[in-house]
Amino acid sequence: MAREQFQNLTEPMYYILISLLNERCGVDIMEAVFETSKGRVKVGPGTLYTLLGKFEKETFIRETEVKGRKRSYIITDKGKEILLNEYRRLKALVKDGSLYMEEKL
Amino acid sequence: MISKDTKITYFIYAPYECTAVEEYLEQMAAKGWLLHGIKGPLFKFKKIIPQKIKYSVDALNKISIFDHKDPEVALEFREYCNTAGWTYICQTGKIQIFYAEEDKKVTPIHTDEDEKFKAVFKSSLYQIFNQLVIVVMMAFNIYIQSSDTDYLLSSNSSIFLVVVMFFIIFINIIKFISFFLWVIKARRKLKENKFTPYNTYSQLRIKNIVIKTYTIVILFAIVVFLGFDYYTSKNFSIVILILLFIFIIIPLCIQMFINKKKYSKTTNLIIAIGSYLSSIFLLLFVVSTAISNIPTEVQQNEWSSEKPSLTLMDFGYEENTDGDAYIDFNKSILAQRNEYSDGNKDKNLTYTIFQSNYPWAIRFHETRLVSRFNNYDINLKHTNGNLPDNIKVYSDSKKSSFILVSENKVVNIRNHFSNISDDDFLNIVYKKLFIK
Repeated sequence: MAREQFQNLTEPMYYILISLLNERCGVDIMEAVFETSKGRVKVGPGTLYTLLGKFEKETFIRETEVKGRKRSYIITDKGKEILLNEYRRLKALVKDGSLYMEEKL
Repeated sequence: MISKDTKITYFIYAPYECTAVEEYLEQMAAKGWLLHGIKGPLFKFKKIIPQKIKYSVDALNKISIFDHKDPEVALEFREYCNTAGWTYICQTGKIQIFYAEEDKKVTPIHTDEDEKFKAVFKSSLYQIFNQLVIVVMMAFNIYIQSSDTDYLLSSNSSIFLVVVMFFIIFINIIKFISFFLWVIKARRKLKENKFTPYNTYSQLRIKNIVIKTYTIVILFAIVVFLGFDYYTSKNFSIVILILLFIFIIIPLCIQMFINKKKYSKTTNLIIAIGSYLSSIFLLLFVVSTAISNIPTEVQQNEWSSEKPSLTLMDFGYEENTDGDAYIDFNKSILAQRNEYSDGNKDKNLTYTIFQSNYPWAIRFHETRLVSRFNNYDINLKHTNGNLPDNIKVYSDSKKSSFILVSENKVVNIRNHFSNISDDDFLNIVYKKLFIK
């Protein structure tokens, strides 16, 4: 059942994985998501904490170092695959739609 | 309790009512009180300049209630919230409380409604389970008590205990139903992807007023019983006090102990279960000792001074010089029970009279008594004796046990006398006990 919820990523999940393409400290991710999405997507600390836990359990990300209470993470190959699939899916959506949307707009 | 800079209030809430608690805290902040700490239902506030403050009452399911106060998981979580601009205040159970000044731009701690609902739901499950256990235990207790209806109805202490148990069952069922309703409503709102209402503050305040009033009434009733009721034995009062001690103070001590010594979760679990079991054991021990020691000394004197209406002498025997007859008596606001036993194995007379001015009590006791006899395979059948019609007579096939029922009396008696026929026996009983 846990696998199903990662078939289509939600926006916060998508942006978190993108921000973890580089090694990042957990607490910096919130800011990274905000910047990458140009202020459109905000992820709260509670949600972030839960999602990082889920990602780690599914081995989409792994912990790189622990400095005191600050943990750093980076995306794994499995996570990259999920992210890439999602990116392709979104591109397909836009491409399929653009044939029709361009007419209407 | 209000000193100049601190204030303590008493507020009851459940984990799923977090939004209502947030509203309450925000109202207090507008009046100039900042939350400083929470212990159970007690909220501690510190005086500040009245200002607008945003609170976040958050349920973190990952920590277990058996952890000591600041487990690693919670500390990490607080770190994240700190970076986002929320200041940590305190934790109670699975709930952490943060605050931020109103004009500070902070993202709410939970941006995913679905995941917030799951966290709150899971954190509430422990309480719900607890409530179910309490309801089942109380219901079972009441069922057991009601098997001896004459003892139950003729003792003020027993009546009081049963009423209290009913109240507890009622309150817990209400809590359970309201949680269930919230789950259904929230799930439906989630499907529409809208914000889920976690109970508003006004509803919670009403609930609090109801619970506080009921608690005050019960405490008042306890004081009245312990201090002033003529028929309640002093042993009962001691039992109640010990019960309060066991169920309120001991869990608090265990909690404080767990918080001080930072043992692992498994150790804490073992400590908690161990102390829970030993307090139940202690409770059973106290109750059984108290019950076997409740001599109704007061009542015994009162009835011993007047002679019992029906004795061995009424059946043609001399007064028993071997010893005193056994007499037991108890009276409550609902009913009264007299028990008499005298004689030895050759000739003895044993009976119990249950008297009440309430027809429902008579009928209730009659039904329970007859079914109890039937359970022992003594099949009581309704017979038409040659007694007047207003007296119902039950007897068994061997014709030695009788139950006589009038509109305000139930007499349970056996005919041990081999030389007296049942009809004569019943006539004597009727004359002595039912005719005033």
